[in-house]
Amino acid sequence: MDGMMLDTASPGKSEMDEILTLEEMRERYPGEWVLIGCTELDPEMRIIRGRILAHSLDRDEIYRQIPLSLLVDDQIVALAVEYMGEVPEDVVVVL
Amino acid sequence: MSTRHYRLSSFPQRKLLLVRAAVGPERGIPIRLNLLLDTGARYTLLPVEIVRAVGCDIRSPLRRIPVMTAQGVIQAPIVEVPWFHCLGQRIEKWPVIAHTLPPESFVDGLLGMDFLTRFQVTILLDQARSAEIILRVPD
Repeated sequence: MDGMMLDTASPGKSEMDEILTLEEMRERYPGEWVLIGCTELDPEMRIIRGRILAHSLDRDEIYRQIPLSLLVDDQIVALAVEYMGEVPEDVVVVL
Repeated sequence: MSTRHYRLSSFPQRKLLLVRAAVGPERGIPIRLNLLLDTGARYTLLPVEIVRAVGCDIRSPLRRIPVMTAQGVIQAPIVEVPWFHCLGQRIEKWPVIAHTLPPESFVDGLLGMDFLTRFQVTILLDQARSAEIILRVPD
């Protein structure tokens, strides 16, 4: 795996406990894929703040970190996978 | 009927249209998605890992349909997610194709015509500088 997976079982203050804005996430994990525990979304479902649950250069590794049992959390209102880099201008989606 | 307007995001350089959506399990927190608005797609398509996370068993799909991919034709499963929310509309037990697009697509999946044709839909593009979708939905 290219990135560091955060140990969700770690007690005490850790990187995962920190609530960041999307801009702060982009500054901290440039060019990486992140699994975000969103703590705040706007009415159009844009991410305002959240906690980084995992990050990696490998998008599929992040997908695999999505828990199979999505339990209710006091703070997290949604999970999201986001890319923290610039999308190339010439991207074309062909199925 | 009521009319609702939603601003669309676009990327990169305003060439493709993005909508935000959410899919969720019967109990638990939802997963928020970035979907490509694709009027060329018959069905909404979501990643395998995400439909599994909301409780779907892709080994027992409703049915399979042929999907053309870069690797050739595959038989992709159609599964029913517990609920799907997009453009202010929540739909219970929504059938979607379970297929993971390559990372280079930079989207989680596709919002297809199966969703759009449930409503009266108008897509407004202002020389690709801004984009808006208008839904007319029953009251």
